[in-house]
Amino acid sequence: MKTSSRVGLAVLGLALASVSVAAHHSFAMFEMDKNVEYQGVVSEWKWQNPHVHFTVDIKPAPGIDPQTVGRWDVEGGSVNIMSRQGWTRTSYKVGDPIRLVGHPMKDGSKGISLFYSIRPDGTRLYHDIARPKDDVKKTSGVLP
Amino acid sequence: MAFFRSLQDSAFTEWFLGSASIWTYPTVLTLHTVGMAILVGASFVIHLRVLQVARDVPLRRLLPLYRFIWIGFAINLLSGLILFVTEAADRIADPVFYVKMASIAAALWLGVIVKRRTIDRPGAPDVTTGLSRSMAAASLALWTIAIVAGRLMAYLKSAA
Repeated sequence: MKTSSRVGLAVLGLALASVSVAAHHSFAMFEMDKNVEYQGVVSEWKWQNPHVHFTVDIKPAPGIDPQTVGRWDVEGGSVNIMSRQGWTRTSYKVGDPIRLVGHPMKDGSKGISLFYSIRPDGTRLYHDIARPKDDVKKTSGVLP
Repeated sequence: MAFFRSLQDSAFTEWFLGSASIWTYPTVLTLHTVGMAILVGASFVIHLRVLQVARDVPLRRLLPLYRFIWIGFAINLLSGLILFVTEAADRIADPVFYVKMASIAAALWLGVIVKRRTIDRPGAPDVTTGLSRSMAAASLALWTIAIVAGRLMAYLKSAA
């Protein structure tokens, strides 16, 4: 019984360790209540599971917040989830200008959790169904 | 290396990772989790018994559980191969991937030895020896390490 208790404790410890790692990849690393607008050019486009990723290059220009200048890694949802919001593989391509609102990383590194992108016609493409309630009419995607 | 790069950059990978269907990536990833539950779950039951948990259960009664170990292993070998192909070049250079593979191989190997020493032996006593218990405990630890390594591979992935 002694041995099995020790094994149990070891397993529990490792399990807890893995939980904290999982939390690292949740939205906890992003400042989810901070919405920042970024405007730049798509420099890499990865329409891929498990998370759609793209990079945005932002150059200093009038009207651009100097704090947003640089190359940012933008993380979206799964291909399935984003498709249901109206995104497609061809929503953007490398070289396209992009305007987006996202949540920056807490540690200040150049990563963003995508909230939504703003199309040239003003409609929004959301990362997922998390959005303000009064915003539904502005979306161009398919609504649940 | 070029071979693994070609797998990762193949048309199959592009289709599989870029598909919006829930029947491609999400299903295979879920199967990998279900297979793990069957495989590691059965291993835990067997090895906990070897560690004298539920000692009223005769060791021979565990025999049917081995079928589930191999069913779970088959599910995970297949789903794992598909997942590996889609990131072959990244994984082949990822030390955590080797930790996972080595842990799985060692855990399975220990499992086979424990089975021979405790369950296969005709008339084997229902009280296991210290060595069998140590190997059972090591097997459980190795399965846990394999799972943690598998999780870490997803979170330590070099993004973009």
